[in-house]
This record gives sequence, C-alpha cells and structure tokens, in this order.
Amino acid sequence: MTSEKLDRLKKLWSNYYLLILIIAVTIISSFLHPSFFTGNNLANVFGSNVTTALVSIGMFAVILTGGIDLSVGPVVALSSSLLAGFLTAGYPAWLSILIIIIAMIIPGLISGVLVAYAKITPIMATLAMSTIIRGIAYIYATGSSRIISNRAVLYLGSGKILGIPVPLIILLIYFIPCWILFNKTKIGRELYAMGGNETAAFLSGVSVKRNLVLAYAFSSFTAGVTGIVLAGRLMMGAPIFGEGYEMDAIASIVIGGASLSGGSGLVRNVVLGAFVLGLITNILNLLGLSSYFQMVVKGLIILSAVLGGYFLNKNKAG
Amino acid sequence: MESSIKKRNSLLSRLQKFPWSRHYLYILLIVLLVISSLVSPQFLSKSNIYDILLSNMTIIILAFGAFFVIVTAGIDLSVGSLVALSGCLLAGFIEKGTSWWLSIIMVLLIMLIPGMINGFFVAFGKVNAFIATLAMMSIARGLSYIYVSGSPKIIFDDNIIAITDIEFLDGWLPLPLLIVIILFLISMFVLKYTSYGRKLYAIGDDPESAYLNGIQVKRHVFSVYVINSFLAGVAGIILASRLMLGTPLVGQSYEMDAVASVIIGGGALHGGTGTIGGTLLGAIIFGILQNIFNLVGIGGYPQMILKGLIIIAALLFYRKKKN
Repeated sequence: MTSEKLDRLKKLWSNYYLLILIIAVTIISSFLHPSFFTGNNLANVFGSNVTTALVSIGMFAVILTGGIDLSVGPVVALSSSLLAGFLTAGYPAWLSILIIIIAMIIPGLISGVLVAYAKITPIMATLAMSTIIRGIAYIYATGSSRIISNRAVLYLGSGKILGIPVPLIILLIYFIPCWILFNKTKIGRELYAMGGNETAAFLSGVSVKRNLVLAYAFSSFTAGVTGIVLAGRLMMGAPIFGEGYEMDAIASIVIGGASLSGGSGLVRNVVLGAFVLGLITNILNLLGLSSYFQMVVKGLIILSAVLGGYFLNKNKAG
Repeated sequence: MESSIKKRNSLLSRLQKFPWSRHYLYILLIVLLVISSLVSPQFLSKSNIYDILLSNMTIIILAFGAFFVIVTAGIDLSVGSLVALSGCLLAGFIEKGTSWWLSIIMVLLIMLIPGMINGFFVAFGKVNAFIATLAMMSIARGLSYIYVSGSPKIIFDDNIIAITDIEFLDGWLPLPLLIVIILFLISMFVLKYTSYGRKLYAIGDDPESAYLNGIQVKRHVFSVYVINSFLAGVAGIILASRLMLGTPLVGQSYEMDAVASVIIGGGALHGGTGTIGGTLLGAIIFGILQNIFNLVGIGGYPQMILKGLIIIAALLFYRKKKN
C-alpha cells in the first residue's frame, strides 16, 4: 500500500473510529446478552452516563491547555450535598440550583489561580483542592447523605420527555453552547493554541493566565451542574458522590481521541467517548461482572486508548 | 552612603547564602516539636514518638519510593493500590499454607510486575506518567478486590505478625524502624554516591541533555517505577503485619501522603531536585502534624481540608521561579 493511501485510511479511521467503536460494542454486546439491545436498557445507558459526559466536557477545557483537573469528583459531591441541604432548609429549587452552580465556579477559580499565577503543577494543585473540597462536603453534610424529595429536581435527574431521559436533553442543551465555545469563539481557539504551545500562544498575544483560570472555572462549573443532575437521578445528595469521576472523565477524553498533552481533540468526540465507556460498563454489568472487575477493565481501556493515540499520532509528526 | 548599601548588600547576600534549604526543615521540625509538647505533655514521651514513627512507617517507605520517581520528574499514583494488593497477596498466600518467608519473597517478586508495567508504559510507550499510574491504580485495586473476593483476610501466621512486634536494643529499635533505616541508608547511598543516582537527577533536570550525554534515559525511567513498586510491596507487607490482615480497603489516598511528604521535604514535581533526607524529614513532619491534629481533637473531615492546605502551602513555598 502506498503511504498516501495509508494516510487517507488513517484519516478516515480517526474521523469515524468512535462510531465504529459504538456500533462494534453494540453488536458484540447484543450477542453477549439478550437484554442489552432493548430500548429500556439503551435509554438507561444514555441517561445514566450523562453525568460522565458532562464532567468530561468540563475537564476537556482543562486538558486542552495541557493541564488536568482532579477535583471534579469532589465538586460533584459538594454540589449535590449543597443542593440537598438547601432543599431541606426550605429554599426553592430554582434558587438553590442557581446559587450552587454559581458557587461551584469558586473551587475552579482557586485551582486556576494556583496553576496560572502561582505556577503550581496542575496535578498537585487540583489534588490538594480535591481533598479540601471533599472535606468541606463531608463537614457540610455532617458525613451523611440527605434524601431529596423536591419534584422539580427529581425530574431533572430521572424524568422523561417523549421517552427521552431529561438528563440527556440537559446534556444536549449544555452541549450546544460548549460546542460553540470550543469551536467558534476566540477563547476556544486560544485554548487549543495554548495546549499546542503555550509560549507561542503567549507571544502571539493570548492572555494565557486568564484563559487558564477560565478553563479551570469552566471545569468546576460543569462539575457543579453534573452534581445537580446526579442528585436528581439518585434522589439524594451525599459527600461520597463523584468518587472516581476524574478517572471516568479522563477515560472518556482519551477514548475520544484527545491528547493529554493538550491542544487536540473535539468536544463531540469527548461526549461520544463517555458513551462508549458507558456502553462497555453496561455490558459488564449485564454479564454480572463485579465493579472490581470493572476497575481493572477501566484501567486497561485508558492504557490502550492512550497507547492507540500514541501510535496513530506517531507517524503524523514524523 | 555607598558603604552602607554595600554593608546591607553583604548582609543580604549572606542571608541569601545561608543554606536555608538545608536547615529550615530542622527548624520546622523543632518548632513543631516545641508546639506539640506544649499542646500535649504526653507528646514527647517515648511511646508517643514511637507511635508516630511506627504508624507512619508505610508512608515513610512510600515517600522514599515516590522520591525516586519524582526526582526523574515522574509521578506514581498507583502506590496506594499497590500497598493493598501486596497485603492481600500476602494474606492469600499465608492462607493457602505457604510458609511465611516464601510468601514474603513471592509477594515482593510479584510486586515488581506492576512497576514494570508502569515503567514500560511511561518510558517506552511515552504515556504520560500520571495517566499510566492512574490506570494502574484502578487495575491494582480491582485485582486486590478480586483476589480476596471483596472481604478482608485475617493473617494468623505468628511470624508475619512478629514483623511489627520484634524489638531490638531493649525496645528502642523495633524491626519496622530498622527496615526503614536500612531502606533510607540504601536509598541515600544510591542517590548520592552512585552514578545511577546522579543520572536520575540529571534525567529529572533535563531529559534531553541527559540523553545527549549518553544516559540511557528510558532504562533509568523504567527502573524507578520498579523500585517504587517494590517499596510499595514492602510497605504493604509491613502494614498487613501491623493490621494482621490483608484487605483491599487500605492504602486509599496514600499516594497523596507520599507525594506530599516528598514536596514538604523539598522535592519538586518538575524533577531533578531534593534529597532523600529531606523526604524523610518531610514524611516525619507530615506525620507529626497529623498527630498534633489528632491530639488537639480535630476531626477526620477538617483534617482533609488541612492536609490540602498544607500541600498547597508547601507548593507555594517551593514554587519554581519562572522568568
């Protein structure tokens, strides 16, 4: 095969591999278990993985800049705990949600300032933030989970419109401005540029530091929104929520073909990546494989996705 | 006028030349000891000091391993899970009737494998160290759950339990402490006096020029993950012996404590700096701080917040000054 043909094949593959993956996983899974390919189960998969998709969209902004945000799980926990607390205290649902998602920008602002202005490695800054935020969530919720009985909130998490889960609609509504943000705005292109080469971006007039802070704030804000949806789906707020979300988000982003060194990837692929992960988790569940087994599989998926991306991009550079 | 400026400059330069980076850790340690003995009179008793040392044994050993990795500008997030895996394997082997010494040798040998996998991906697969070890963190924890099928295994073997009970020199030198001292001396010797150790610093400092100077960067990077995983295996055995059981639940967030110890001790995540002595002091300081929090009666959740704040403070203190 000529190298030109090979290149075209590679390009084709990198454009459509996620669809191929989804179809392949779906076909294989349908053979493995009869109840996989039923409307009910698929709606369930897509409904329950909205949280992963949302968190991944948020973290994608940070990963684009070459950073990482390990505090998304705790922010999800804090957001859901606050929501349950506010509702118990008798605040109206819309006001609680509004206050919480705005407040959830704060942890991201702090991480962003630590990374951008104090020059702390993103891993360490957000790791430290993650224990602080989870600590606050535990203290606020006094260690226990609170039941949510507010109808509106429950509807956000588990309602259906014409058979489509409401969380999925929320994801769609949230996705559109994000897509515009990443693809059509100046700041979106600047994020790509920063991840590609921060110094070059800085020299061509990008306000790198401000954008870094905004990226972390966006990630944290999105995690806050996720916390609301999750609280609605699980009908409670608890400080233990969001455990391992950073891992799922990283997995989705890597499956979606984004490079962890920043500057590449597409937000729509990140969402598709989250659903590929969701489909795989679902068939493992149906087959009765324990969550421990799934931990192993998730780790292997991340490794193989990263390696796959490496081999695909290796020839591109050379 | 000029002379006064000169004098001030010389004072300033002398102040700047004073090797703070060598002494502030001791100063911090002494300040902490004074504060804590004021807070609680029992603090300076032999039993409390030994309690702090012994309960932080695992973290101290992990911090040594973390230092090897961090000095090459890497990171290993899987150690907490590896501690759990090592303990579970030990408990499992003992339960199957393997003799205690053979079990320990087998566990230590098996614990080289996760490090080899991490090292392979990081050094040869060019996978981000953070991601490779994050994946291993999930894999190793999952494997330890699967191996013990979810529930902890009690260790009945007297020899294993004795690891944390044997004391030399009339109780002044418990065996775990001896192990830590030996590991410390070996690590210090390797890092300071062997070309291998100096090459690790060179790689952390600038992998490109290390490579151009003929250092086999990949092999060296590979090796530090194996060392780290081996030390996590040792730590897991000591912890299992102290708890008298192997359980997949232990070691949660140990990676953070280990990295925090390295950072408090003056190591930097961008690699190439710090000493193993600093790491030891960092781990002890971190342990004393937690002990003080406990003595003062601060609960577990506020401690989480304080831990995070301490790490941020240490990072701010040492942050790399970029132009």
